[in-house]
Amino acid sequence: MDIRKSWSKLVTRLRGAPVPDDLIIRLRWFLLFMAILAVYIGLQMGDDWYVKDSATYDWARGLGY
Amino acid sequence: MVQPFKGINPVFRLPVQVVSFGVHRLGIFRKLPEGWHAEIPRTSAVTCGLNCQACELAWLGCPMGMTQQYVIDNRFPFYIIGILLLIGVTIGRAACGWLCPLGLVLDVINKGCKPKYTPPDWMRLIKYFYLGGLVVLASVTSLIFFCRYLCFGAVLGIIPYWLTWQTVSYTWLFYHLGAFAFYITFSFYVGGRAWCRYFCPLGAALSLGGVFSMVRLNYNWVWCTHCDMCKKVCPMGIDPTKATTLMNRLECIKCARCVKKCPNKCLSVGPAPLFTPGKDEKVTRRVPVGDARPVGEIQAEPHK
Repeated sequence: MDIRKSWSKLVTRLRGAPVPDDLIIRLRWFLLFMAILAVYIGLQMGDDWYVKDSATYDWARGLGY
Repeated sequence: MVQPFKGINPVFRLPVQVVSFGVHRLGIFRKLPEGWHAEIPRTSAVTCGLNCQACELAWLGCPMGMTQQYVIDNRFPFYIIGILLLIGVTIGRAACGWLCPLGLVLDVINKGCKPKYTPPDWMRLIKYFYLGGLVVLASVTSLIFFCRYLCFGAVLGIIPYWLTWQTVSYTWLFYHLGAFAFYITFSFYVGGRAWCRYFCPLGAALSLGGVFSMVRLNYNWVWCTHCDMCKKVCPMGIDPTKATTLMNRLECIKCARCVKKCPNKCLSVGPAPLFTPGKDEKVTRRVPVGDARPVGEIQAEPHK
């Protein structure tokens, strides 16, 4: 079987694969916790980011300003 | 007998989109009597839509632009990843369908256009390459490369910017307008939200968390007559009757067009179960939700 055929077969199978609800429910809470943790770490890491210096139009200014 | 809506009523979508668009543009208050005040800082809050901060009216940050800025500054984007994961796990790609300001623009522009060509499904992977590529290109070039050269969302930024400051060179203005024209032509040809389907890196990021989303599309096969109306109206080109498949969980933006169009109300957008039922708990749900039944099987309840 040529690679293209087997690849498309794999993609079709993956695409149509049902994702069990149980797995999703369990992982969801874990991911939610990780997300909150990441936001907390991000906010703890510093307040000098993005907005103060370059959140405005810096990249657009570079287009001809 | 037609079942009533059990989930979110799709008629609320347009008002929600309009309000969201307005909220994203609250930076209009930056315009004081003596002129535009660029020095007034914008907030560091991240929004869940492509909302270019180059826009004079924007006050929320685009996660993609911020990610690139973090990469350029050699900082790990904990904050952005956390926010994207938080949005992904809670509302998932419903953010694309209900809250993204660019989504409203696309919906208005593409209203009524009929697809003439369906690209192969592998093209949906392009958005994941865009997502990876924007990080790599930002680190290699030290530029917010994606927003400058590839982003459709820049149109929302560059035009208001040009209108207020007139400092953008015409070359760049026409470049972005050309890119805009390309995407619009493509979406007219392909139908629906071609940008969200094939190119949007934010959609790609949200879809990864969106697999675990607390909002989902439910399908009740008992009432389905397989008329395929849902497939025809889906702007993301997916089959809503296969609600639990990986493809649908990744791609569905919960725009509820299929819900609105379904003559038998087999579809609904609503909350996903938050907890697994206990072993002793009796399953009282009589109607299986979420799985497609092959055509030809006997329907439990005949369609009337």
